[in-house]
Amino acid sequence: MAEPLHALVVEDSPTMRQLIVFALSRIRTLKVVEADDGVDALKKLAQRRFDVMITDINMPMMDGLKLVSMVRNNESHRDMPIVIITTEGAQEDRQRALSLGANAYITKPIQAPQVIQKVKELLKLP
Amino acid sequence: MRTSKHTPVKPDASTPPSPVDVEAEVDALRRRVAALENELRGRSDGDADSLVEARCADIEADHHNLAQLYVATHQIHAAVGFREVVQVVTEIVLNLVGAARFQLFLYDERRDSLCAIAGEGADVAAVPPVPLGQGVVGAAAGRRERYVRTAPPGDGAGGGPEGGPLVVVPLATVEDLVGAVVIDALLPHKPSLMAIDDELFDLLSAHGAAALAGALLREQAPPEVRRLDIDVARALLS
Repeated sequence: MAEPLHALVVEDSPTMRQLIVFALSRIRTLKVVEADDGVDALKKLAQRRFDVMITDINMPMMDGLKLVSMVRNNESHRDMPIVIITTEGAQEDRQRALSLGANAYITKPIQAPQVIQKVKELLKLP
Repeated sequence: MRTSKHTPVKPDASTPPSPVDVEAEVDALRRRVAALENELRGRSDGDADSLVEARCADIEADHHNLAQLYVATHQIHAAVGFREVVQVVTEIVLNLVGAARFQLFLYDERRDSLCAIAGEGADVAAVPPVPLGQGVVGAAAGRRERYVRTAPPGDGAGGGPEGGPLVVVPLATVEDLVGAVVIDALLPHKPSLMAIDDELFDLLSAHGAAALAGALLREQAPPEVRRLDIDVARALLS
């Protein structure tokens, strides 16, 4: 049996977080770890290697932009694919996140099939 | 049996066809049958594929909708504090429905008005109280009937104060009016409300209302009254 892949979902809204985790649970080989905000995410990233990270932008403590920047400057996670979640209107944040090293974005309200497709693409899953 | 267009057999009772002619005809017919079978196979495979794809997309969409309802219900029922319940209700409207501008009103019985307590896209403190029964919002809440603005053609679903609210969802328990969710505009990339939004509004109407009322009453009650009293429970069940 293949080694499971690990995803880190960073989202301060429990509703959104649960919805994203629900969507990702459709990818059988993926194990999902949740984080409340950027600080919590960094703690979890320090504990283990993740294959993909899905993060919101607007969060307390440490926002998604700062998190993306810190992850890309960390040798251990430099190549980890990052998906950001933004609102359609927040084009500036999206561009900033992409320029900081995020690989893809999903707009709210999220659709589970989109989340699954994007993560599968980044993980090169069939 | 139909004759092939490619090698027509001319019926002639006086001269029976030679074995060579028959073999040629059989060969031509075999080729024709093979060609038709291929065409048919290709067509039914394509049809079946597109049917399966469409069915899979439907199932994925249904799964997503059920997941949204499950998550919304779970979050509403898991929240205990008033602030927490308000946060869940606003998150549902913001993130699941996809509202860009909305307010959550609470019914103030003493003033017989709806007062905005939370929202997105506008200064809630600046939203004036809405007397029950007055205007689109007050009337919908007073009647406890959902209002959905039918946008004129070409207007999209933008809504907004100019065109009046897009949606008014009264929040009420079986006995009492609790408040209302008023949506002025959807996110730009959400062109219109969908069937799942109706389900979410139903959920907010009943479950959201009960959660808001329960949480506020609990927090208004003095701490000594908040503890579970088994005698009261027994009395209520007797």
